[in-house]
Amino acid sequence: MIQHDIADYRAPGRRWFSQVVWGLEEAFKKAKAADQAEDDTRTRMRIFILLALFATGFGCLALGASHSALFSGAGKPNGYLAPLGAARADLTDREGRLLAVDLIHFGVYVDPREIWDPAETQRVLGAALPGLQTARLDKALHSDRREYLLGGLTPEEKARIQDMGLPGVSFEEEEHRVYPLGTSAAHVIGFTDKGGTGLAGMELAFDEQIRRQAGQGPFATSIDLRVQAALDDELEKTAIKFGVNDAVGIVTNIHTGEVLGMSSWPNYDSNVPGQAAPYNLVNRAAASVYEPGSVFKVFSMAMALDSGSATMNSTYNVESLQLGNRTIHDFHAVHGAITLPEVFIHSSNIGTAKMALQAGAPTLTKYFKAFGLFTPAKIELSESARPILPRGANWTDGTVASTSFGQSISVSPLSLAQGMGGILNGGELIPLTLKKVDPANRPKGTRIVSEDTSRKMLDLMRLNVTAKEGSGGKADAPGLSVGGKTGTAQLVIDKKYSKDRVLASFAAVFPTDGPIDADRYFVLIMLKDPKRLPETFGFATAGWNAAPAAGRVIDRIAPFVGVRRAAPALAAATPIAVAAKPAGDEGSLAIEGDAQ
Amino acid sequence: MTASALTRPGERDRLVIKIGQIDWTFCFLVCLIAGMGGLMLYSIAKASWEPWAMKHMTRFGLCMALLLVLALVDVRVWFASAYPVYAVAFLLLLAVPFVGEVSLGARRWLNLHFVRIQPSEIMKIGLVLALARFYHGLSAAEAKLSWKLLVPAAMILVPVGLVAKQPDLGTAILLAATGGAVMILAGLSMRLVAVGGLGAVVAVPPFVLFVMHGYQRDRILTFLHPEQNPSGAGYHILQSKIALGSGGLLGKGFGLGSQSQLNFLPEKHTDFIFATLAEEFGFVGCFTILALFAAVILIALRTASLSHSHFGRLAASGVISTFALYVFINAAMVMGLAPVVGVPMPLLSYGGTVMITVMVGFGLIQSVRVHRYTEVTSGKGALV
Repeated sequence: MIQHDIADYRAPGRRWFSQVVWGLEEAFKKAKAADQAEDDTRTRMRIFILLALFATGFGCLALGASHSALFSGAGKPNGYLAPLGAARADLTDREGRLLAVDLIHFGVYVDPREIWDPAETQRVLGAALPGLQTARLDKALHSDRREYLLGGLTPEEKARIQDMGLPGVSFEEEEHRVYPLGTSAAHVIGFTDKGGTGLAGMELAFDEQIRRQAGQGPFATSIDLRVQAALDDELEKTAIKFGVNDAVGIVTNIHTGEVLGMSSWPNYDSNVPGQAAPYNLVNRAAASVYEPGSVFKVFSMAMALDSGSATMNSTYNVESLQLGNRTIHDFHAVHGAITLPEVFIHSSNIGTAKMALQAGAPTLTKYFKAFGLFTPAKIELSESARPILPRGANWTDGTVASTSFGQSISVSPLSLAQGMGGILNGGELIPLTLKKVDPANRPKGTRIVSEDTSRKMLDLMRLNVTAKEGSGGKADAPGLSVGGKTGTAQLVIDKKYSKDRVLASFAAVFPTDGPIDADRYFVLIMLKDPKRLPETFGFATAGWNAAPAAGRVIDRIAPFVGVRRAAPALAAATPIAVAAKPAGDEGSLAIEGDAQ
Repeated sequence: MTASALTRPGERDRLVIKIGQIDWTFCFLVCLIAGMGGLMLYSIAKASWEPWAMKHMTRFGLCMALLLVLALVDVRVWFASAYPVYAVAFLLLLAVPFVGEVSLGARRWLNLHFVRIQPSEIMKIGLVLALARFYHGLSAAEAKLSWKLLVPAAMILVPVGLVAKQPDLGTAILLAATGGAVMILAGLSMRLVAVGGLGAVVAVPPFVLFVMHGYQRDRILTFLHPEQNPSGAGYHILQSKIALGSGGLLGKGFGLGSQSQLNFLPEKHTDFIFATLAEEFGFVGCFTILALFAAVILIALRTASLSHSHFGRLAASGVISTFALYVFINAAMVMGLAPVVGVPMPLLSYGGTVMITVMVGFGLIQSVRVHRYTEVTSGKGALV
């Protein structure tokens, strides 16, 4: 029978196997031929059985190996057995500067079976490791196997305990996440738990990729550490100076959607997030929503210009607007009819509301939706907050009017950055990202406004800084052709719009000159409840606090992002002429006469 | 050289002829496996010959020399020394509880001052030799079923009990399984084997629950549900499974296995070296090493069946059974198919004792091959 099988194994690849089989067969024949005693043959037979058993065994092992290596989820991303203390790739900024790094620390273990003097060990270890709970040490010392005591020991701490020469006390290396920058960029970097699982910020957003990339080079983010540092610094100084509740700063590249800097104040140290107050842990740039106030007029105006319901020459009578039993006021009353650019720089609520009402609710909501204001900002951060929208699909005139100047709608600062970036970059909405984008592969966005509208909005933003009556004058930075819009929104305190406490914002873009596809950056500063200071003449409006802070940020970061300063005379030129009007105040404060 | 020359009386006793009779393919495969072990130890030590790879290769070199010398030792010398070796191993095992050294919570070592030995390892060879010798003088009917079989049963069970008491569950299982294999090979009634197998299956649960040490029981129970105790007793298995799973088809690459390089995998250089290999060389690496082991076992079994003496056949197949059991138990343990019992992967794992045992065993197999035509007479042989 075996002879017959061999005939089938003539193929060269199987020759070795057939030879082995033949050899075994030969051994059997030899045994028979020699006419050995019965037990000889029987033993040979049994060896053959053993061989068959081993072959089966190896077959099982091969199956087991195939299953473990190829088909089990273990060790694969999302596998049912995630690594316990997964190693993580280093996080760097766009230029490779370290944001987060895994360093070797040590875990200390005890094995009670090797301990000579439990009492002495307990006393010495307890004294040497103040962070160790007594109950835990006690339990470990009475265990019947090696137990883990405490992790995160620095090499010095480990050496100190090792020098005590305690038998049964041993160490294992463990990875420990270290954030060399401490509080800088803490919110956007986030942090991990002790097991190496991302819990917040980019550590959470990119958790899977960071683990997968461990040992294969750093993970490059979109953050520019120099921009981030300048932003953190200016935001903190401003926040402390004006005694704000909290503050937000964002810098983005509007063509790529890359976030170069994101700051939230008050902040915390990513190395010890557990010691921070819960309030400080919130990344307000992403996770908080605000009624943004007049910065929203950028959206309303872009909508009106792009839909054709208004032109740059449209005029609006801004003396009064009565909607039902509600009167809409302007912070500083202007008499008679004013043009669209004047509505923008005077930040006229009446003008903007009339403009929005002319366009109509369907057009307004269609555009707002396209600007991404009805959904959380598209960014990898899972903190990205959902907006709070007016109730109902069909907006009343009152809702249209309120939302047109940024009331009755709450969005996250990132949503503002995403939407305005789309309006100002030539008209394409590009999702924000915290990953470094290859300049050669700029992402294609969704068209939301025409290039012409985009250009006009850049000019309007610039005008608001250069015009004498503009509210953003203090944001200008020499030679950088800064454009921007202020927003001073009343805060809701006890379910009512407060008369004197505000959210002051400044949304800036620079440079406004140059071709539409030139490198351009968006800067947002938001201050919640800034105090009135003598040097601001008792004003809390955005033109006095958020605007100058944005200007200083722009002034500092321009060289880092490679924006060259133009000669001052050229930068001052503006394409839109404005008729001289009675000097407006800085910013605008939307006051609801008889609030709902 | 022709076959006719070998048939000349005395020709086969010439040293040069003996050397020619050694199975060099077998030796080459063994070198490949040990070399692979050295490579993995080099990788685990973060691309360094210290502290494991260099020692491993040095030891292997010495053991290879020992193998070649033992291959030339007449099989009748092995036959004559069978009972004495068993007796020495037995006495040393008896001595361990009284003068043995404690290491890692178990008393397994004897310190003879110039060398530390593990008597249970000598017993692995001694048991096979003694059983082969015993059966050599037994008729087929007696080997099948007779009261005389109480002797080999005692020869197996007493040392197994002593080793299990140390405690060293892995070695005890190996000894018991090897002894059983030799008994079956020698012709034990298949009906008895079936009954015994059934009895063992029934006896396991009470044994696990009442006889085992707490940590041994933990391991067995953990093997069934490793996820329930990921940081305790399940840690070994989980980490090992992760290592295997993350290797995929071709592995992460030499020196790039994060499980083993970053110390997540415990005992990565000894019992779990197979997981390291699987992580760095993937499925292909696993398969290659298993194929090498299979080839070694196949060749050895063929050598056993070619021997003209009953002693030679039983000794060679008994030794290779031990080796195969090492491989099976270790691989199954690393894959999570068997409980963690502390059995290393022979030739691959770091550790001198097991390597000596395995290589001495291989020396015996080669001796059986070289002297396959030698008649071994029962009782007072030509040499004794």
